[in-house]
Amino acid sequence: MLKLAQDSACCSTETVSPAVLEARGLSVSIAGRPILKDVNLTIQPRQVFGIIGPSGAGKSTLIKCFNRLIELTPRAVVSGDITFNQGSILSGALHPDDLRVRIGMLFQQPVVFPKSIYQNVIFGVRRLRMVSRRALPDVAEAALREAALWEEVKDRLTDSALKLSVGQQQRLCLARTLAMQPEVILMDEPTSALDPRSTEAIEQLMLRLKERHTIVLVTHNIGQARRVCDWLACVCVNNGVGEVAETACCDQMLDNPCCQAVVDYLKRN
Amino acid sequence: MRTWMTFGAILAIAAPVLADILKINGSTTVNLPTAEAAEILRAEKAMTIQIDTQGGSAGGISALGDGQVQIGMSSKHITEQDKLKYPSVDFVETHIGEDAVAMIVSKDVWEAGVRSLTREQLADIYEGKITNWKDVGGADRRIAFFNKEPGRGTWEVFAHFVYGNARKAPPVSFPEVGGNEEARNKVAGTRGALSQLSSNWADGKQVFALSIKNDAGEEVAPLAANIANRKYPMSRPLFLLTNGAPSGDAKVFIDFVLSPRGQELVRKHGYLSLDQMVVDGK
Amino acid sequence: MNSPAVPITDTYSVVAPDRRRWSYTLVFSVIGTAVTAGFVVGMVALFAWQTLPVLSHSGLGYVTSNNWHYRQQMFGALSMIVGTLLVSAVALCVAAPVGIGAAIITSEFLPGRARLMVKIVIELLAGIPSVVYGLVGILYLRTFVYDTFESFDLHSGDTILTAGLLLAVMILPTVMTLSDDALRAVPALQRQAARGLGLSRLSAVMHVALPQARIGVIAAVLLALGRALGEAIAVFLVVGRQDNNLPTQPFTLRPLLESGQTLASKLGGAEINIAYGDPLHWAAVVGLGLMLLVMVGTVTLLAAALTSPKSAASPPQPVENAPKHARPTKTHSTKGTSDALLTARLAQEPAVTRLPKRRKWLERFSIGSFAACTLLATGVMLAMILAIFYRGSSALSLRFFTEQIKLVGADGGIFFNIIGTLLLITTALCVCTPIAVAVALMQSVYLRERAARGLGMVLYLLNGTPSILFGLFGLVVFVKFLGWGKSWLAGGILLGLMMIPIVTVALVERMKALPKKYIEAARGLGLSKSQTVWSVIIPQSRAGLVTGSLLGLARAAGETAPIMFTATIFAGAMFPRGIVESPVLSLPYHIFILAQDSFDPRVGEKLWGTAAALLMIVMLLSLIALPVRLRIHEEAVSA
Repeated sequence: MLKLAQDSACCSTETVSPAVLEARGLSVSIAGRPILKDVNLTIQPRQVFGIIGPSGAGKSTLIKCFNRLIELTPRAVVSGDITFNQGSILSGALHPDDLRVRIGMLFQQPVVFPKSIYQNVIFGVRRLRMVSRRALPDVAEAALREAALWEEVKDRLTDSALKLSVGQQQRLCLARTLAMQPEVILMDEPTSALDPRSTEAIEQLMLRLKERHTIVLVTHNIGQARRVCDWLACVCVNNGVGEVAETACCDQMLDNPCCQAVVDYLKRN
Repeated sequence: MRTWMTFGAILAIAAPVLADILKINGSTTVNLPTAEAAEILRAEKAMTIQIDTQGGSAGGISALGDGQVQIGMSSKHITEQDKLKYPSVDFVETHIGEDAVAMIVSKDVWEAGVRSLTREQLADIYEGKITNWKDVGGADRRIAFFNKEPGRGTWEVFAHFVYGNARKAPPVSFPEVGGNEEARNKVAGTRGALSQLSSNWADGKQVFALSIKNDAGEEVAPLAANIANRKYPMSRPLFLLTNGAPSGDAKVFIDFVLSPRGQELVRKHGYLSLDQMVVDGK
Repeated sequence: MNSPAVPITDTYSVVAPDRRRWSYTLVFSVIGTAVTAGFVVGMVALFAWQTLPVLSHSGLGYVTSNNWHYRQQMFGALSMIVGTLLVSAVALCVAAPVGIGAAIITSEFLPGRARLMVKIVIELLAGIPSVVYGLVGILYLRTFVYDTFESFDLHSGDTILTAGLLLAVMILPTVMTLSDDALRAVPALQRQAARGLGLSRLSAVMHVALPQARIGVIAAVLLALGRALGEAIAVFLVVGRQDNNLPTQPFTLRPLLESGQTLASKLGGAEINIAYGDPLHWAAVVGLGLMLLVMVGTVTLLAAALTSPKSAASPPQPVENAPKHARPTKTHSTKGTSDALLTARLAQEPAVTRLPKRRKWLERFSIGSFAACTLLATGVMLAMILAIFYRGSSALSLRFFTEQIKLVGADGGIFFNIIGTLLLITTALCVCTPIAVAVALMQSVYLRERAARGLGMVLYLLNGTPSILFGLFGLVVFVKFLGWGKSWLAGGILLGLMMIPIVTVALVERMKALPKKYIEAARGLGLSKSQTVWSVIIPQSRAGLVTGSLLGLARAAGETAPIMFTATIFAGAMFPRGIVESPVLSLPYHIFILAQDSFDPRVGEKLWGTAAALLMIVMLLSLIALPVRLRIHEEAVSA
């Protein structure tokens, strides 16, 4: 069996505030096939929490559990519990759609709607009537600034979002999520489709955003993990099922992993 | 188009060698005994007979005029107009029986006590001056008149009776019915319905045949006796039409229809056979 | 095990490949395309030419006046134009919301398997022949309308509304399947992104999937409209066929509750037979066909233009409420100051309220009504099929299939009707297949984008052409001009021409889906274009040929209008012995005639039995095509 590493001393100073997200005994199976087993994670506010691990270990599945997007996958069954600000998200007290307002998400591929840049940014707030109509332009500007896209697009807000470069599209998606003012932003390998420059821009953003938001980042790029993450969890495959092999603060995990599976994984990368 | 024409022309030359088919088209009324006669002849004399009922009597006349068929079925006389339209065709009418056109009504009209109409009343209904049954002795209900399709023998008989000449009938706008079953079906399923229909289709259960009240105030029902002695005014001859005197297969066929067995078929379908006309008519 | 190295020697010799100067394949393709395009152009030209006399006789009054009295030589078609529009409007008002609602459920809410089931049912129903719809209309819908609107004092149950409702059921499968396809074509990622923003399932559909699918949905509705405008047989049986009945009270229900006449129903009636031989009357009748062709052509071409790749790729229009943010930013600040500004702004103006307002009841109500649409659509259709088999079951016996008609349909069976229908569709297949292959090759191999799109338009137009117009064309060309009289070959050719677009489109779809690497591999071996066509492209797309042909045959088997003037008669035809004057019997025409004319109660049973038999043939053809179609569907989804 894997020996689960607990928080090590070097990181302990940061674990004072209560957790934003916490998974307890989380297991997921899809179409009867177990994907994740007994995952326990604690995510502290205002930090970048990285999830690393080999391909196919269930990282994306895990991150989709936090905003219950996993439920859109046909025949997915989730057991165990996840708490968000100490309240269970699976208990039904908070509607999944409302949960997703507070826990935003960024996908591997930027998914912009075939509308104008402006319409893309305000898409969520407008459809959900979260702000008055008059405030929409201000919300759009604030969100675009926050996503460091404002200067590039301020003169062509009515252009189609499809005309933007892929890197810009991903930042647009980020702006769209930021407009909803989520507490947590889930990012599922957000830079895997991007060129190095855009990747750098997104990484810079993450470092800034964590002042106001909690970020959960799935990445297969160890360098990226080292650059932006505060904490890391490594998901490894054990007997065909994904498990969290180790959680630790970033440097601890990357420089001095305790668990053999993590060691193997890091060695291969 | 040229390829097709050449192709068609070759086929047109090749085909007549094979063709000894007797083709018949026309009135659905005449069709009933004719079709059964054809079945018998097919079985007994191995004749190939094709029958269709497109366009009613007018369809039969024009199909014969176009040379598409050897026998046209018609429940009306050939008119001068027809002869003008097909100047090269020598239309010959062979009388095979007689049929009456009845004004049929739905059950509610019959039960409300309407039993007959006069010619003037029919004209007023046709011209839209009378639109309610209460004006002709029935209940307070709109008259739902179904006009027989133009070109149908039934309509010609009606128009001839009401206006003296089918061409004098004024243009009107009513829902139209085609085949006999369609007319019966619609009259049966509609309250206050009235239509022209071959009298033997009036079953007395769902649809009912009205009498015609003549100038003497006498109500004449479309019964065999009244038809035979021409007292009932809306009767019509049933014809098999040929181009020139019947010959070949057409003659065999027409002879069969005129034979006692053929005339039995005419009676079987509710029409008057020729001998009934002669005997009762005297 | 290892054999010793084989010395490389010339064990056989090769000759230089045979290279022809010009390709028979190209010639074949050109001829097929020319026949197809020639037919479309020829039909329009023929109708236009034959219409001329009435235009010089009545002038503009032909379309603007409301008096059609052929005995008086008055030809004003206004009431028929209005009737056509009214009937189609009713059909569309019912079928569009129900069909789109149902498509939303099938594409967005049903799990894969259930969706497939619903789709199968709907696609089967799409093949129900119009004469069978007409039959059901006569027996059930007329009475239903008559009783429901009793308080309006209807003349009868034959109304514009009845015809419209019947058409609505007929076009529902078109609206539904095409809308479903359009919705499915919106990438799943788009919905996921919307859900990730916290939109509910329904909002994601309504605000992301549906807007993106709107062009496809509009095209679906337009294609359905085209079918509604041109339907002759079913409308003929329930519309009442009242000439010159122009609505007098617009903006009320009244015009819908009157009997009327449509362009197509007029063409399905007895006047065709009367009119021929009188140039003026004939011109007036053909002119109705021309008008119909123009109306349907406009609608179908509009749909084609909408869905053509060019317009689909066009950028979205400028947004409606653009931000009032034209003002330049106050300072061209560095990153740091901009951030400070941002933080300050956010601190001052908490513009975003914390949780969105949701209207759960509205959402439940919407989903509920969409589900009701799905149930309604599938329910009505299944009920129809069951009713036909239930009423027809007593007639279905071995005798019924092996004997010929006796007693004018009251006795005997439908052996020669089945033979006739099979002969017609076999001929149609033989006519259609080579032409369809030729056109498909032309479109996907030889033509470049713009020309291919043009050819696509021709196919669209052919597909939308009302079947009654094929009948009219056949009557003029085969029956009269070529002097064939009624001939099975004419019917087969017409049905074959009708099938061309269905088969071609199925083929082209497969050809387009063919991976480029196969073609490159073949060309890399030095095969010429035409050799590649016969060795790679056609073998690899035969699934399209098979499914397209089966679906086309299913449609051809049920058609009445193209063959009623040209190929079939009611009784007496057996195996044809030539071409000229060699009609056959057929199932749909048998139903059409018996539905209007049956003298004996026993006919009723035979009538439903015939309908059941026809339905069996049609559904069998669709069912054979089904596995291949489903596989193609799945491939499309996984790709």
